[in-house]
Amino acid sequence: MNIRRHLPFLIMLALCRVEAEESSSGQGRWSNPENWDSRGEVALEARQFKNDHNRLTKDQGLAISSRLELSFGEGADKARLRGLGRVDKHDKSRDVLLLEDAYLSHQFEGEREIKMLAGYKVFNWSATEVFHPSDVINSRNYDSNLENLDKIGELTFEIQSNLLGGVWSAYYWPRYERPRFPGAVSRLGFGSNLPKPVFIDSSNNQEIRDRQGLQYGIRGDYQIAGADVGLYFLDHMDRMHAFVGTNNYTVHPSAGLIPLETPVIPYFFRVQEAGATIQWAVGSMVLKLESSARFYPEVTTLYTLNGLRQPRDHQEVAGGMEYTWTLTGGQELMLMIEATTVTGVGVQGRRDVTAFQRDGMIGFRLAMNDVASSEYSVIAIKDLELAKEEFYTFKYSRRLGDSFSLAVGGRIYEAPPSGSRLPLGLQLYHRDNQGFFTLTRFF
Amino acid sequence: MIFFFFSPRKFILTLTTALLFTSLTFAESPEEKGLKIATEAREKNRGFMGEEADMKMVLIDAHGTQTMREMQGKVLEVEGDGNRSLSIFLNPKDVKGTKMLTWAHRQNDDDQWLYLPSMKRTKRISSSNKSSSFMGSEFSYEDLGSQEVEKYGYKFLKDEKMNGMDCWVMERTPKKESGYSKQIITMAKKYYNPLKIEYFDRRGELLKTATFSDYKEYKVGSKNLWMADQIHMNNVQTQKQSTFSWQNRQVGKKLAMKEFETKSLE
Repeated sequence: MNIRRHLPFLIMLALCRVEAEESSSGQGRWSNPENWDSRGEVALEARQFKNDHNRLTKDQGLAISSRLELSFGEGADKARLRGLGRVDKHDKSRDVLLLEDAYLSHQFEGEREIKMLAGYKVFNWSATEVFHPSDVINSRNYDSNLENLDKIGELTFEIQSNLLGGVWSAYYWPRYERPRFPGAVSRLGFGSNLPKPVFIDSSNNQEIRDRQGLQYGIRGDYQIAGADVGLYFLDHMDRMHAFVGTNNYTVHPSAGLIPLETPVIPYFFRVQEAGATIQWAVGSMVLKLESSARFYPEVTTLYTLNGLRQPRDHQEVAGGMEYTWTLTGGQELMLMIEATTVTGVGVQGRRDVTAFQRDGMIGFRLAMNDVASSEYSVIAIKDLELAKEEFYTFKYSRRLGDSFSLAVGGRIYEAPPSGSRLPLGLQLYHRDNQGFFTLTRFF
Repeated sequence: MIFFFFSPRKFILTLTTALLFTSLTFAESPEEKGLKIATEAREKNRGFMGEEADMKMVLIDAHGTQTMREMQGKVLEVEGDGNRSLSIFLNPKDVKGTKMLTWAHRQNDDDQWLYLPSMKRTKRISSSNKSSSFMGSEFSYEDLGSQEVEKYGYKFLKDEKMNGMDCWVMERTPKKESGYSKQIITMAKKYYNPLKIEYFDRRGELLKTATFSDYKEYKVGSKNLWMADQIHMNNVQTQKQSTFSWQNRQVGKKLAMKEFETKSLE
């Protein structure tokens, strides 16, 4: 670890600690149980995929997962520790221990309120329900639901203050957390264990393997006439858009491009992006928007199974609305409509960027608002550019007593096979239809 | 001398007309009296500054089976606008840590956000759908939310005694979208707060009756405020019942505005 690079933030941490100790009026506040809170869950997760007649993959999943959260709060100081663990009987690559939050924060009192935070943190910058161009900070666990992937905590140093009529936060992230990919036997993966990802730092256009590097960002949040508006700028390692290939290849005079290693290495590139999120309540309707414009400085051209590829500057926008009707019995029926598009690149460029490159979504959620909090939801996503890509998910959930809940449902993917080419978009989930059952105990 | 310009007959006629006009001017219509009582009640209940309490809700189905819900609540009084409130759900366990922040407004729709701890997401929600059931209870969001005077029309109906207390009975009709066609409020003159509210559905039929009890007096500065520590809601159409109660209530508490900001939800 480069101490000199992190010196300002180590000083910031030390100041936090001094301030915290000075402002502490009493002893034993960390040992006072009233300042602590916890929540947790243990779930039995079962899933059954449609038979793909492939003995190398596992069509069944049976896992125990647990999420634990411990939080401390006393006056100006807060701390949170939260993580997710999963053990799967059939697919060892699903076994995971993810640190989500492990941070300390302190609020400095004064004319200008300043909050400082240090530690691992999961961010949620989503405004929309399934398409998330702006929710880009954390690395993802790709062995989870495509439309809402599990997040991995990012080492964060944050300073936040009321400024210019809004709340502004500045971030420094000194380490690239690696995304997690499904293993070789997983129905949601590439059919092979992907090697560790490679980060391309454009400042010197070289591969970074030690995961240390400067990432920073700034975000401002405003409330304007019933709307929540967020604006941000980031200069960071783009972990949302993987390019699978290799930069180790040669050009043969007659054979053309020849890779010198198996071209299945996930590459990630530095990106500068500016974007906005909006949530606006208008009567019974909530309008939502997420957008991001991405600029990739000088990049490496990779050999992939789909040809030479490199990230291209583009813009990604998602917008939508939700409208709620209250039924006579107090139930709520919500209609959700969203659409997303990528501009600034052609069809192929869009497909390289995201699974939902020009898609529309319609969904319904019926909350019975009964003692069991019974809920039905259906979501359909259709590719508006490529006619054969569709995705449906449906779920029923309810509470069982005060501590248990049950969820059953299914996920259906309609996408053509990728053949010998690298799967793009929903092609990755060709014939991966599945049913699931989850029983959760909360404590 | 002004009287020299009037004959005695003209003077009597003028005086009679003036008295009649005056009496007409000062006679309150039922609507005016209802609005006056509601406005007075708001003034009487103003000045609590901030409030913090633990809250329990018991849901009772038609067979008598009981289910418990627990929350913590904070309310901040805002000068010149509706109050800001924060509810933190504690039980059942699957919603533990969920927070609902409301900025009530006198004229416009309230601003409302829901913080979902499992996703660490602060989601803006529409405050228009107030007739939805609150946590599966017989209370709707409308029953427990802000009830700004400006959002209703009022009509005084009669004076009445209830539980030995002098009361006003008045009708309240929503000006905006509501789950109710009207509410009949029986308000204790001593408390300037209701003892009973009857809620009528959109077809005009009696739906629910709320009974307010366990009134306690809180002294905040120079003001004495009466607050009910229990509301029992009886749905006469489904035979289900719910009881909402407050414990460890602290009134007059100094709460910071920043506790009611969206950034504080995380």
